[in-house]
Amino acid sequence: MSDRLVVGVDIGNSTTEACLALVGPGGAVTHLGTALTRTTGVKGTPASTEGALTAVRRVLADVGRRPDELDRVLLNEATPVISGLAMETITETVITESTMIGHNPATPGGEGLGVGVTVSVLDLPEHPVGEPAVVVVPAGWDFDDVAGALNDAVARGVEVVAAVLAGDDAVLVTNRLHTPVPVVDEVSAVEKVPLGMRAAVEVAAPGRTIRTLSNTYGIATVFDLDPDQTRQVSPVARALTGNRSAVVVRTPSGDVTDRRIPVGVLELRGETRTVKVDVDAGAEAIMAALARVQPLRDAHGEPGTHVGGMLAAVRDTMADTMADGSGEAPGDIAIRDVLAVDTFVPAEVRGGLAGEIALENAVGLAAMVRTSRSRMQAVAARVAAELATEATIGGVEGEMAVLGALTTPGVQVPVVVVDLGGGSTDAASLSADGVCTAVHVAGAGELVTRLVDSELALDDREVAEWVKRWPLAKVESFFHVRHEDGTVQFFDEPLPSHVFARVVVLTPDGPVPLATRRSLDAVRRVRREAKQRVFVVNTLRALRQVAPDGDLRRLDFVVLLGGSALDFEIPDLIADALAGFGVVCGTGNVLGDQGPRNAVASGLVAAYANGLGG
Amino acid sequence: MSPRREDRVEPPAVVLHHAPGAPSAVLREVSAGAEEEGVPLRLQRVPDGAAVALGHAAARDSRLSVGVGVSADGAVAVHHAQLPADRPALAVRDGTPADWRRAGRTAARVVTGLPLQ
Repeated sequence: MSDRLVVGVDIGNSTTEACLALVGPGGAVTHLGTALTRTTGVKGTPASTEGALTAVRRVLADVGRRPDELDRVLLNEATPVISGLAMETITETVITESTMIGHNPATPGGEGLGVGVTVSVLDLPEHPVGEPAVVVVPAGWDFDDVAGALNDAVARGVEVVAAVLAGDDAVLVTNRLHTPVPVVDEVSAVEKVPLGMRAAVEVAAPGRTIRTLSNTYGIATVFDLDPDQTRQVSPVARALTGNRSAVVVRTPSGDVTDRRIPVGVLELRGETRTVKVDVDAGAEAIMAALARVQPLRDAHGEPGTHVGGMLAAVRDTMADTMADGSGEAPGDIAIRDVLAVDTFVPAEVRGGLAGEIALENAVGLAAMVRTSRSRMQAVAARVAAELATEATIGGVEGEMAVLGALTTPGVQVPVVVVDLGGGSTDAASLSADGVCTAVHVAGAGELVTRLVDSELALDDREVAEWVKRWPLAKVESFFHVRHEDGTVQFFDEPLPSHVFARVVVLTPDGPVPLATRRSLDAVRRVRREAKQRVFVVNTLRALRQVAPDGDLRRLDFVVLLGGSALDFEIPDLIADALAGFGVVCGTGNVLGDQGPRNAVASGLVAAYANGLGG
Repeated sequence: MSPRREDRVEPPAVVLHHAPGAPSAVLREVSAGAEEEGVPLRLQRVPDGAAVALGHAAARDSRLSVGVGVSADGAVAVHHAQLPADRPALAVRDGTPADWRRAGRTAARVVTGLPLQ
């Protein structure tokens, strides 16, 4: 019997991989080549056939073989897994009656504290002498005219103590005053500042933050408040903490509230009991509830909430995917895992006069839906017909991944592989006595992208994906950048003006500026914490489910696989987290040269060869 | 031969070279833009020229290496001495007062190392 030409094909959530090999009569394997393409449709459904065919044809073409030479195509038994994501904002900051202005403009003017009564610059000529004035200037006023009006009033005997401007010219106005006062500018909705009210304007010296208006008792002193009123203004002081400038207006019932938004209930149905948990209780409470019901059988969210909508949507998508017009029941479709993550969303404050931003608390939720029904036989039949060769289901995904991972130099049984994917994180273990266990947990690369997107307020999935994928740098001149580790790189060609002094992502196509006022360190922290909260948490969750007695210390070799194992820092974060358990952990190198790719496809070939060799 | 840069006694400033007849409204707004950012600006009248060339000459003349050129027709260019002569950091033609103010702010921000927009 001669050598057989076989190809293992792994249809994954986002990529389809092929591994071509010659298998001798005794089971000796000669690897010829590998190929990778995007998965078409949902894995394990007939729509994914197209991607499988592309991968097979590509690997054959690479090594100059024809489809009719193929002895057999080996496919993995892949359970369709669809994941969904949702974000619920659970707090909201509201300013009522224009009590304060706290947008922190880049260049306020003057410094100090001015307390008086708000008056429009138009009414300033009639303003009574003896009543300190906080002058409010609408848009369209030139800085020379504003300074002139203020100087005239002072000459008339009016005590001008501060000014609030619509335009960006606080420094220009202050520089032209005979007696400089604190000036806050860039107040876009200046016409909404209540007139005839007592107000305080504070501007700190450059490099400093305000001291009086960020202190509850400071505000109480300025406005002569009683203890009850003091209690009411304490959120105002808190909202202004850390600013270089601020305005507080004393209105009869104005307030700043940090409101909790009721976001509904998540119902988790376990094997033996059902637990309901309020989503606004936060991620920790949700994950604690999940732990109480393990193993999860299904989950439902309250209709009308984001979480309810998301859970219904993933279920519907799966039902649509499985309904192929054959009239067969779509099988048992159930949410089998959820991951909740506490996050924050910078949002514009309601009732703010100058586009104030507050960090609102939110809960991010990833869910994974599985079905009991597999359609791989249909995929195999179509592959066989298209290529005019035999196509069989060569093995179950988790087991095949383990077999493939074992081709990594230095790895031996017992071993656990962790596949860090886009929608789910999967783990499979092979014990010394040959027992294989596999688990899927919700949340992976897409959730990281989502967290980065919302926490940095990028509002651009593509840019968020880049932030996740590539390191950052700060452009320090037209010719050099400082990388996030502090090293400096010079360029021959000048960098474009739009990246000057910005935090940029170093994509292979060049630096992309981030539309954020945050420092490089802050952006880096957001990126690393998102990866930590998803991949490190999920790897530990998955490993606990497959480890003997759930004890991580009893694991020996852990091999990281999948697209996110190629990330420049995720494997390090996971290795750090596992270091304390005495586990050998690293990124897989399938066949000694494929890195963390191609494990399942190689495993299929190995399983077939093992079968021949007996 | 001109004296070395270090030998001059002028305080560090962004230098603005303007052609004779450059509109005073443009000069006012550019100056205001730099002033709002807190960076000194020194105006200097020079023989006629195009905005970009004036800006580059001004940048080479500035101890901060940043210059602004304003031509007789009111075009504005912000330049840095290390940039290629034909590639200014910002060029404004047929601008509005807001554009001119922005040019002054941009020149100041090249000095202070803040994002230009």
